[in-house]
Amino acid sequence: MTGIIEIQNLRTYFNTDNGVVKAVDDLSLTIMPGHTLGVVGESGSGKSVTSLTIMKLLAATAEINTGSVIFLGQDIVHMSEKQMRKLRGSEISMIFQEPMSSLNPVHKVGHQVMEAILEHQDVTKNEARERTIELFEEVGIPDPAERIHYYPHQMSGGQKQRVMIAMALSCNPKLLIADEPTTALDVTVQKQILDLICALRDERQMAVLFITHDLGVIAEIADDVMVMYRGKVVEQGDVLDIYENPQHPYTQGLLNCRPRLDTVYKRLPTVSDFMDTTIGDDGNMTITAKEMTDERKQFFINTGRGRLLHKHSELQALGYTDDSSSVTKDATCVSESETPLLNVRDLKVHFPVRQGLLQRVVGHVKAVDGISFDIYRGQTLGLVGESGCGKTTAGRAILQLQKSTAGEVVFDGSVVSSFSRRKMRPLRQEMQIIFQDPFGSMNPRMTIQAAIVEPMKLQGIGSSRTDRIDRAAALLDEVGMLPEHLRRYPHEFSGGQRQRICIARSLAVEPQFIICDESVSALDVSVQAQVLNLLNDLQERRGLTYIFISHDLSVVKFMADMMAVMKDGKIVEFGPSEAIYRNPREEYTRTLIEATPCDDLENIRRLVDQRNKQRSGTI
Amino acid sequence: MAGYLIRRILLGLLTLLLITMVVYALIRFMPGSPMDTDPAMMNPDKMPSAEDLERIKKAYGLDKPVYEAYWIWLSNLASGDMGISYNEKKPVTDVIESRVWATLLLTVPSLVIAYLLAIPIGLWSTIRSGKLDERIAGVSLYMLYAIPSFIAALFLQLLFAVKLSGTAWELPLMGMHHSDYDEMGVIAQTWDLLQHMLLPVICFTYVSLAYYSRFIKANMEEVIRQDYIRTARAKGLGQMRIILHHAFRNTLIPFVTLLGLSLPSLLGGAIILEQVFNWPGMGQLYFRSIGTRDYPVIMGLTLSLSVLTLLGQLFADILYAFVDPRIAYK
Amino acid sequence: MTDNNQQPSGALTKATRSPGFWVLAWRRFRRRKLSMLALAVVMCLSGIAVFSPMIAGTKPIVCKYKGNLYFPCLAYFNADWENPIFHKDRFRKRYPRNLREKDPESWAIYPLVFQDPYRPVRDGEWQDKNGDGEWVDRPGNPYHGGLPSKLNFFGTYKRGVDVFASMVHGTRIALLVGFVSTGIAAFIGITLGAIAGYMGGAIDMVISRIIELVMCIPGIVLILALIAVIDKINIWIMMAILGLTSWTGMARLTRAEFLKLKQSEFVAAAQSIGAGPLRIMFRHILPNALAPVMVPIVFGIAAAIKVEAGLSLLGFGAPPPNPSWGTVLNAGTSNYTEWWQIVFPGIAIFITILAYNLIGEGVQEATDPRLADPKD
Repeated sequence: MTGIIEIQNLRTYFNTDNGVVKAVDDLSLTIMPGHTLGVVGESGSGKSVTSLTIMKLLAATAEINTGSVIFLGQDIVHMSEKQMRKLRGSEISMIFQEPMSSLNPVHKVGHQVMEAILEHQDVTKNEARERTIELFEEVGIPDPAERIHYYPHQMSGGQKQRVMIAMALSCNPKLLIADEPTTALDVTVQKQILDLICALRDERQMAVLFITHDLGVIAEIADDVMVMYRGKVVEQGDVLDIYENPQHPYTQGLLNCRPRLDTVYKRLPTVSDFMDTTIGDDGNMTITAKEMTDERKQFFINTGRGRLLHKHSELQALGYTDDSSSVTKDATCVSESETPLLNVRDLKVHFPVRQGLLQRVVGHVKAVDGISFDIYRGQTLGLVGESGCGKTTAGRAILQLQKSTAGEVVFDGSVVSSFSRRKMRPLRQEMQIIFQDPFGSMNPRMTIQAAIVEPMKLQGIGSSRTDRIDRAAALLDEVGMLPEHLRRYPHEFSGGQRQRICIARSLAVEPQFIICDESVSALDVSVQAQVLNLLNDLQERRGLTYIFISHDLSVVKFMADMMAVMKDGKIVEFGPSEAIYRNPREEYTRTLIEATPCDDLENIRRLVDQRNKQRSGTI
Repeated sequence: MAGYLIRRILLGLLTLLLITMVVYALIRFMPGSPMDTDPAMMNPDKMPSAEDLERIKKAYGLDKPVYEAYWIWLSNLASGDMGISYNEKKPVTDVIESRVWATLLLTVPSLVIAYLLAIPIGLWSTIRSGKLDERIAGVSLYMLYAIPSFIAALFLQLLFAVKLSGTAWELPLMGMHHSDYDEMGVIAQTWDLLQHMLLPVICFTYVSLAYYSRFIKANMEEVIRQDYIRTARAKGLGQMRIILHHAFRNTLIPFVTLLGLSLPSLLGGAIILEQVFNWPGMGQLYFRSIGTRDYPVIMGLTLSLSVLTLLGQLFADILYAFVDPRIAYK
Repeated sequence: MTDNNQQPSGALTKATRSPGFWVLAWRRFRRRKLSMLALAVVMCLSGIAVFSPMIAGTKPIVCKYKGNLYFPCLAYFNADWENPIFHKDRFRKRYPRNLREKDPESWAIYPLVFQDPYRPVRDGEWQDKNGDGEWVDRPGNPYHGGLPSKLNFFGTYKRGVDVFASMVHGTRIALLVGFVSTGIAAFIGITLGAIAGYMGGAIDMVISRIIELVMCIPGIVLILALIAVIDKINIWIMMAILGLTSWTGMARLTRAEFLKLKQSEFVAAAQSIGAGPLRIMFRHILPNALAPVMVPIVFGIAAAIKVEAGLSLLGFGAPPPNPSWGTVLNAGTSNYTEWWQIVFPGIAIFITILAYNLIGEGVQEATDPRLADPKD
């Protein structure tokens, strides 16, 4: 049996001002009908370039250097643009990462799907419309006859992605390329979209090339897995083999550095614990593996801070008995005499909705709708929830960066929610925040030195300018950067490095309390692990208290002692994070946990069996 | 959408009210207002007569408190009374009305031509982007854009009315009609008018043309980078369809706004160009009224030109709501 | 990666500072040959403007008269800077002969071109050496119809005034108008735009209405209306009027930038360290908003030069005695056969505007955020 698509020794190079960049360097693959090949890699691994090469949608600076791409016996590399257009959208279709921007905002969604049908099939407009309505129904868009008249901005992200899928399926493609199709979506929506792609694949016997950075997603959907690293394929094989017995150190690193829901690590190993990468003068990369001995593994399992839970009495009041709260051996409780560092009481943030001629307030968006919790010194509280649940607004309202509508925030005895902006300023020394976007949270016109010294100057820390610069240098050292980085500008650093600098900036005023607002969400998994470890080290060393906000349940569970699950501005479940994970009480929490992709071997085996059974049944 | 439009129109009315205040303030508070201009500096023939002065005093209520006077002036304005020109001794509205058509005769065709030509040129240069012919065209348009229209007007006059005079290429130097226009037949009249119009219309058109086509190209290049264009290509659509149906449709959104923004400079340009071509439009009237300090006409024209611009902007905003579906739901 | 090249301690003091945004922008700008050429043209014009009395004039650059050194050419900048002694001694602006007659000991260095921007040079005012090495009187400028010639490079206008000299001195007005009026406009536009964008709410509403109002009145209409009601106009009032009517574009842009940047995380980060509103506006937002506003500022200079020339053409420009390019054009419109009065100033205005536009284009490319802030 031959594959739908067969790629041999593909090399795609980019000609840039700084020389040739080998975006894809010697890649070969074959996908069988009804099968899914998962391509996994971090940013810059060349996984997206691979998909654009197949579609021949590369930028003008890119060229296919060598190699062959054979699709159903046709040579794509040497195909003319005209022939290629006949394939695109009909034989090979593609779904993109950003459903928000991938649909044309000025055309109705139905029209955009019909357009593809009319382009490739000899049908009338009415037939195309009928077909579109059927497709919408097939991809699970409710009320399809009505929805085809919607504009993209009237639909949610998940629905837009369904429209994209409908468009991709409109001409019954043989190959579907999905380039990070669920990355921009919430986990529950991601789950639905993944299920939909699987179902459609099985039903139509399409070959699917599924590209993602998320090993959990790959485990759920792929038959075969290809791991890419800086343009090269480092490992390729059956999904179970890859997860059960990864050969390449990079694969091992990737699999271990993710904080899985059931992780045993207290400190995350990073890719660099498995291998070293050196780039020679000729631009070639050599990878040296480091053996992960049992002894080293034990280090990661055992070193690190234990859980610090709420007072015993409070846990009991929440209904957590002794044995369920002590699921990890080294969990301790805050002593009964302690007072909370931060106390949030019935916090509400409502945004007025204005409408009509006079822009009258017609209602309110209840972004945060009465949340209450305590945090004790040295604790990490996790706030988890999907987009729009109000977790970020809550974080900002606690820091008084956002005016709250009602409720009380008491920090270390002061009722900060009643403070004016001016009165709040000295307290900013105690309470800090680390943002999500390491590109957006640094002023591009300020050197690193200016960025770190500014908070010290504003808060009167350090005796002189030189003293502050010395402190800044020491801070950079503490977060794993170099003192000479002080004289550089933010754009000279990678995302992970910038996030370290942001951490140093927050630490400059020696705060007691830091809110980490999606602080690792924009980072690659291997970098994410490093930053999480750094945050844990700093907490231990400096006795910090964190609120850790994230949409990613597994990261929150890894970091947090206590966890609050938010939905629609309210906290639906609050308790020790281990206990919540093991025994969720609320339906919503259970949905979240179930939707989180799972690369547990049991689960993969079950999925593989299921697929095999189905295939033997259909053939 | 209705909400957006009504809100937009209300804001426009507010701006209109502010314009009337500014125009009134110009008359009332500026030093050198009609009451205390140094008579020695002015041509005695063009001095307002005592009768005129009395009339101005009344029309602008210079003897009354500001708010009251403004209100009276405004209510007169609302009933179409802008006062009486003291050059022509006729109501300002009549004076302006007799000039409006001449100005529209130049501005409307030039606006239409500029838009009709700029779109294909802009699209063509997007498709040919970076090729030799596009770069030559781009540089030429750029140079054109840097020539002030009045200088082009003078150069064209030099060429067609002076240098080529006596040849078949000769064009009239200035004015709207030949001296014996009244004796001509309809066809000859039209031909004469067209000949007179040609140079002014060219001068009105080319700057906008150069600017618009560059604007379209710049915006198209921005749009072409968007994700949805990649989606359209992945659907297998042809280049023309992608450029016209997907990219240009989005470029229209900022292009429509440009319409409103470019009106002021077009009308402003009319003042200089009509003077250079001795074209009997509003611009020339404005220029002459300033020379003779015919205040009622100056203020009447300032108001009319501003209102024209305001209407243009309002029109652009309404079009905008039709071009961008997102507006309707905001 | 940067992590790996560990350097010895003490590197802190030795580490060179990375080039900042404007340095990088300048490097990118420098790569654009056309924009650099345009910059050279503007530099050259500025040189002409500054040294105009030394290039064309009838007053000595420096002279020794009755034992003292004088710089009479400075009178072209400001009439009061001419030493009263020349007035007392009844020179009547005729230096060569008067100097020779009133003080035989005197000497003087004259501008490169002996022509005056304000008045025609008369017969015998200047002497040239002829082929035999004798000094002969130079003929005066023709009274009318003065074609370009060896003595009047660009011809004459207005009863024999030299066009070249007027244009050299007119450079001063053109560039000054460009800089001063755009400076005023930029100050108003950036200030109002920043306040509106940062404060929002009612203040934004008011400022936005003002912007819309000024935008609705066509610039030149407002300028002429203001000129009509102000009776004693001079070049500075003129520049102020130009500035007061051309700030709206910059205000709109600044406002939009401030609205956008106000939402950015680095501003929230600044708030979270206790920075006050002024610090956030000036230290954090403004430097980031400035790059996009630079572009309309440069284009604004070109527009101001254009408007001034247009006003001068109408006869409302730089009031006499200031020579301006537009004034020469204005003279040209009264008699189209004297083409040199249109062609030469027309070309000068075109080149200047083109140069500024090209610089503006260069600034735009050099500060383009897509190129200026590469994400890795």
